[in-house]
Amino acid sequence: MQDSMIYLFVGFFVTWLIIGGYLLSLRRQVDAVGEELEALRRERNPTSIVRLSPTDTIDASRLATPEEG
Amino acid sequence: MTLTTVRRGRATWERALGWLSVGLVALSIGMVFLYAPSDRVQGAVQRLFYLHLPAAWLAYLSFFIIFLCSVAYLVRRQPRWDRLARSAAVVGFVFTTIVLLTGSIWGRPIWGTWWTWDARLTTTLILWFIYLAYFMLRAWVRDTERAARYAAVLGIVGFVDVPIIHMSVRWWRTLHPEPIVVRAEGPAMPESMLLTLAITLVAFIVLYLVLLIEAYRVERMKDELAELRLQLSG
Repeated sequence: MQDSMIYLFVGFFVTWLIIGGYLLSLRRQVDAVGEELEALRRERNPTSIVRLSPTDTIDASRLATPEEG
Repeated sequence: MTLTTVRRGRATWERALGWLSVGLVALSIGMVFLYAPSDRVQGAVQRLFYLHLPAAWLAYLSFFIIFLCSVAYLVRRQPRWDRLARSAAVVGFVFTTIVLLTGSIWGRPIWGTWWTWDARLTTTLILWFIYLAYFMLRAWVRDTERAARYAAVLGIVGFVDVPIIHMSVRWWRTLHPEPIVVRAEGPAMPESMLLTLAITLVAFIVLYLVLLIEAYRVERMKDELAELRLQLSG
């Protein structure tokens, strides 16, 4: 019975490790590809304002202040 | 500071789906360990069934999605079908890996071995290799349109393995038990186990959707990136 429990916990651990790891890798890919996309868009059209989709959000703390010009 | 930093956000319904999956997964784990009764013969390890079965069904579902998207791509030639097939393949590969690993871990104390060349196990391993071949094909063929076309053909042909896996326990003498949930006489398990399985299955389906949406987002962005690079280099 004790041995049986070990196999049960190992099975659960492995499953959630794989799913969690995959989800994390997806999030990292979204961030990395997103950053590269923004850089290429700026390179293509340096004077343009970054286009936002309705689902994009702006990090307000990173906005330029009037003093900074 | 001249540029505005943009953080790519997710729609409200996507966030809601993510939180729903977290809640359902927590509920299903609670039910598996605290509500579902222990099997009299196999003991606690039988609870791996609640991971093994939903993962197997979602691996089949992935290949069904690939099959449908592959047909749609070959008929319509719209990149979005290929993109969805690609996304379903990655998620399906993850779930097939889980099926093989949980089956192996479950088999060790019950059958006394980590692996046996049983018909069900072998056909599932073949499915895993088909997924692998699908990724290798895409990696090797440089021309994206041609890669999508070849992958679509493999996606259609590869789907043949899914009904073979399902029927393997009937067609051949196997160590793997016959279906106990989907069968003509009705499920052969107590209601408490069925309810736990139902909740776990719903949790896995919602989780699957979250992963598929995220994988599709990555594929769409990669396509956009490739197009932009082409524009800049040309």
